[in-house]
Amino acid sequence: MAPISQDEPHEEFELQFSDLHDGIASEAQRKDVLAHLDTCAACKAAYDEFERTMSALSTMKTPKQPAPAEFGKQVEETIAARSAGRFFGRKTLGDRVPFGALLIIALLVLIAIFAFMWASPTGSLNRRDGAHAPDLAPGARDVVKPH
Amino acid sequence: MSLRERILLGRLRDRDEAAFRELVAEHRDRVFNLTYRMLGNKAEAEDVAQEVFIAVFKTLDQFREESKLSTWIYRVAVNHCKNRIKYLARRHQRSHDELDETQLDPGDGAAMTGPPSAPRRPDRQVEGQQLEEIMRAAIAELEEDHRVLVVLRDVEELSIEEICEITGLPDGTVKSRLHRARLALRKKIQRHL
Repeated sequence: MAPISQDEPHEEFELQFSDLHDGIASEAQRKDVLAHLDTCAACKAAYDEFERTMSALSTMKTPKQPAPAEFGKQVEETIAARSAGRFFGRKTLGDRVPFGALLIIALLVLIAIFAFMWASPTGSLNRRDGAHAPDLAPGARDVVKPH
Repeated sequence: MSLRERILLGRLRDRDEAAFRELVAEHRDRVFNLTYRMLGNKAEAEDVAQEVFIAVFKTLDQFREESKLSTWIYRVAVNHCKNRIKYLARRHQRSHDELDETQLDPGDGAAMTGPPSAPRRPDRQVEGQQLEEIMRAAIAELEEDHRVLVVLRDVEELSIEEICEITGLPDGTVKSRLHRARLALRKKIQRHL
């Protein structure tokens, strides 16, 4: 297959340069193009130039251009300015404090206290019918009136 | 989409400010790098990157979770860049028209508003910073559709599949257009290599 002119690469081969570069050309396609490049000076020159371009382009990959340090803050400020502070959900006290969880914890604590007092032999909640009242100290008999 | 992304998305939809900060911190460098490579100008890139995050937050409810959150953010960024490129081109054209009308030297206005042009130095041996500068200018001169593909594939190193998702173009179109974009780029930097 002869080139159109001595300086012009063959379009059908030139179209495959990207596939070759990206490594997505099939094995047969790759062999075909490489074999052609060995025999066609115009296509070889075009391919070399293509590869030089891709190599130059790779200088853009690193370093990446990081966003300015204040970028995040600026975005938030812009949002706040445009929405007059209404952009993010304004949280009420109820949203910020987990009242539900606190209520459950308080109930559990109350139940624990009640159970402790109930189990205690001296606890006033555990007075059994007919139970013998504890003896009063001698000085206390003058204070407590008998029924 | 990963579980972590789903949780973050849920918090974002609840308008959680901390979640928004996390989102910005995670994606700001990649978004800024993309906008900078697309627009070739730091001030414009920063402005557009900010708009991208604001748009992302405002339109979260439109995100259908068919792709990764990062892919969707990229799509928003690409669309914003395209719009800005069009706007800058119109402004550039308008400034040219105004200058033509007043018969002033067109060079002044173009330097202020137009896309960056390639350095005119005829050096053939260029390296490092200078080469990057030449490439930046050459990319900024590419057609908008070509520019998107070169930046996404050859600078951001995204896969063809991801590019298809971002641009909404079929696989074959992305590949053939990318190849044409690379050839166009080759033409633009030919004299520098």
